Amino acid sequence: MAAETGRETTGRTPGTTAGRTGATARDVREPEATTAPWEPSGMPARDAAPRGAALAAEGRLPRERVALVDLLDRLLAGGVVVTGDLVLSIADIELVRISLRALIMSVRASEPLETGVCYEPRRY
Amino acid sequence: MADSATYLYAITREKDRARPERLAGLAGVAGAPVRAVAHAGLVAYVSTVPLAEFGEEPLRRSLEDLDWVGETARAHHRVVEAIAMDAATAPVRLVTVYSGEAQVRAMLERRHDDFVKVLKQVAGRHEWGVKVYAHPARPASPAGAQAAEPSGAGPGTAYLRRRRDSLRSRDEAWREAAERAEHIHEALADVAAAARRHRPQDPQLSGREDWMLLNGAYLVDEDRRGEFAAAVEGLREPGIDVEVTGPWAPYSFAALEFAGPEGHDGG
Repeated sequence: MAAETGRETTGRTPGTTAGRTGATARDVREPEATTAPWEPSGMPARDAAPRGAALAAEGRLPRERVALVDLLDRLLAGGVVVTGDLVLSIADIELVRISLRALIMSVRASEPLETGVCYEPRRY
Repeated sequence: MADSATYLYAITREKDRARPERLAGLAGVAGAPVRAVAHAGLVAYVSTVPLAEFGEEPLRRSLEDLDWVGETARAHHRVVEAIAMDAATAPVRLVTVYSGEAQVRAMLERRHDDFVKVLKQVAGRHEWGVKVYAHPARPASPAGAQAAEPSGAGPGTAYLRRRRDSLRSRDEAWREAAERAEHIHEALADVAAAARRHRPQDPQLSGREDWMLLNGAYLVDEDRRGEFAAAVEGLREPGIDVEVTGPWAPYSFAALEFAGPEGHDGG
């Protein structure tokens, strides 16, 4: 996904995406993203792109998951954290991150041949 | 009551209250309608959700399911976006669930001053995401890797030297990249009202194998948007890729850090 999408989004600036909220630059070229300003079009509808089809067609991680990662950065590490009288809140981000990581690893293990992408773990 | 709970999305001031048509037909998490709960000059946007799905035990299981998390995150986001369309908004972290509206009202009262501060801070501003990637394979100084080997060295020595040089150049590349990221972040933060760095994304999540040098969030005044865009443009140079996302509701700048040392409710 990297090279191609990266190049396409390289020219995007806040000015060119003005008025569109929550849509990642990546989504700008998507037909369904050309909707009214502030419409939450950045996150495609659940049935917009079947995950398996996207994987098979593009040989890469599905687009909705790529956009989701930016959203999860914000929703799991940002936002107001309130406590007290709660049934539950995700106070323990680490726990969630670990769970997601485990999940991603399992996705990775089950789909490596379809994606054709080399997922070498890399230290960051 | 016992089988349902109240899911909280975001808070605004009452005078900025979202127009009813914004909420009409809006599907929140679990497809539930969204309503406004006004109290103490603030408005909380909430949905009723079933405890069978949002109780503690089911949630622990659901959070293991990336599809569930993704769907819930998108629904949460959809609601926050609708509200943020015409109001300064403090988004609440994903999956904040109260036992009922009374508890939400009590929270609004208890944290009133903190919310007012946060809402004042984000008013007239948007969050922008800037991700910067470098290509790991590209040596920092290509000439260095090809340095002439002194004559007389045996093949073993030459191998060790090459290996050492390669390790060193990788370390140097990494260090250079980190400095570059710091520099970029500072340049963007100069144009922003507030700035924050998220953790670099895992390549498996970002879908890119390049080094993510920077995963920054910037809270930018509406009337400095052009200036910020120009600053981003100024970052572009060979060897790095810059990706901009946004405008976002101010997710990364809604922490109630004024509240107390722990940022906790204390209630």
